[in-house]
Amino acid sequence: MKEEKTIREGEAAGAAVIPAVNKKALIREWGMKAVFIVAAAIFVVVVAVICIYLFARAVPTIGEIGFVEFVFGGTWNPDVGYYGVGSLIVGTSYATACALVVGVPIGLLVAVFMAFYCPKWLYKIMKPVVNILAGIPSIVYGYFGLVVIVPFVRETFGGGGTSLLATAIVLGIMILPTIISISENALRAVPKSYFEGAVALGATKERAIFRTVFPAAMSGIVTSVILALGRAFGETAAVVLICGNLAKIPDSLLDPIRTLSSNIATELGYSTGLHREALIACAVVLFVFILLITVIVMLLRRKKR
Amino acid sequence: MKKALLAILSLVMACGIGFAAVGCAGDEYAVNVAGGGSGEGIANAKSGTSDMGMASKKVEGEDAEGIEVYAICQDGIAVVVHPSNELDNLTTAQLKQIYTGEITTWDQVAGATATGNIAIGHRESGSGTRDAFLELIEIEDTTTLADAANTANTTGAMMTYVAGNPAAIGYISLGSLDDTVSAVKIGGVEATADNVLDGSYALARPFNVMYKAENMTSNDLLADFFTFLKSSQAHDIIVKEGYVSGLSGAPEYKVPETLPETKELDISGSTSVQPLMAKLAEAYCNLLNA
Repeated sequence: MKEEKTIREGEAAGAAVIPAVNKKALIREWGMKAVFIVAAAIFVVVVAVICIYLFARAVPTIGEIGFVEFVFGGTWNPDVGYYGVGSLIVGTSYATACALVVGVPIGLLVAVFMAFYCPKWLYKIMKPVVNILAGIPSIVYGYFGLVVIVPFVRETFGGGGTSLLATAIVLGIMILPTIISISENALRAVPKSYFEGAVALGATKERAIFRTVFPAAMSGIVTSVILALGRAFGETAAVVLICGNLAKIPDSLLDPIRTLSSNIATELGYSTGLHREALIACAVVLFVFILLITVIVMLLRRKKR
Repeated sequence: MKKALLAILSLVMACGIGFAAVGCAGDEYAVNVAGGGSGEGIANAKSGTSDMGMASKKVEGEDAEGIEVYAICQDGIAVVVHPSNELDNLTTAQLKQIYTGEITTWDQVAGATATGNIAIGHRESGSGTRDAFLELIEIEDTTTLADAANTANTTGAMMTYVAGNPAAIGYISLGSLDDTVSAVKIGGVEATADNVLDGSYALARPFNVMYKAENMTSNDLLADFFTFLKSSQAHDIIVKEGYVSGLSGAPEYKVPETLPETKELDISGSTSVQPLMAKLAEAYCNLLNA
């Protein structure tokens, strides 16, 4: 702001002396400013429109169904007018939690390996592989899950195959790149002196890493886990193929589940009337959860500063 | 202040361009296809609320009084199992028992070589295939359904699931059947397009349209649309959408030299027929407005 003011004052003073060049520059500057403002405005408007649209459509629907019945109701059967997303929220939470159980330990260990143990030649292979893993479209993960993981789960553990376990394994793989790359950066950002100090005091390499560097990088690592949680929570295309889509609270890891996002993806196509509105209300529930996750990440980042 | 004004100005301009684009797209002829259900389709055809009604069931007796009924195609459903399962034949009664959970293991099904629990494959609620299947095996109350092992939201996902699980059973529309899964005979009748057309295959329902006889003479757009519904172009669309068409060898539709005077048609009724009818209407309007 301050800079802008000085430039403007300069323009006002210099306008009389060399008008032709300055006017051109002035027009160009204003033009660019308009371009930036339009871009920023479009971005803000898009977010606002999504929020307003979702809530404006969902609030009356939730009112019609009844808030308690909608959020805590265990039966989702649109054919006979039961719109309870309780079992879906539980399904989504189970899937996310199990995915973190699968993905977080592997992801963190890989991050430590890449930051401290990996020889240079291997790092040159590992880094692109992690990036490729992040770039694979989720429907491809879903198909891989359906033709590889689902039969594997069925043959090894029994049950129908499409289950909480299969979902957890595939989601666990999908969140790996998020955990690995963010955690690795956090570990690398810790000053070398921490590690060196610990080793100088007689700690082994492992001890120095896990007792000294790890705690120092904690906020970055937690951020990576929460971002991974957000990814797992909202994942749709992959989950819809492998979770079984049974809207019921699972009794075991081998039971099918239905998540909020897979519920929307499964039924939106043919739905009409209140059914469609209820699905949009589902999106709002998902949205609120994702919003909470984002807020938590923001608070963590602030604390770090 | 200036920034805010600029932002608002750009927004207004964007909206203006958007509305202008939508406004210019108005076509001359329009066929509007709405839902409402088979019952409403019949009622609307009788009352004249719609120029034409749609129903995804047989329209006979009292229902058919005062209106003409024409079946544009048949919707056949194949029951599929894993290719390794040598199950040859099922009855609709057995299917009902399986899908309501009265039969839960393959040992209870005569002729099946699969073992263990039956892994039930379903389609999502709202799917036309699901509605037709449940209607044809006479399950009216969906709360009596057994828990499905897998609910797929596309035919492809259903077939991949069944093809990968030796204990699975599922249902798909007949037009999508291929050899990755094995289709079961229903009541001894094989699931083929011919058997659907001659009425011997049980898991099939007609897609009917209903209209008042006098509308055919008073509404020239309706008459022309009907010529289209009986054409080779309509046949291609019906087959592409996975339904069984009896129109092979039908003549090609040509836009009449004197264009119809009526500009707009309203069609309403079964939500199962609606997606197909919307495709047909779109193709027809494209030809007419070209």
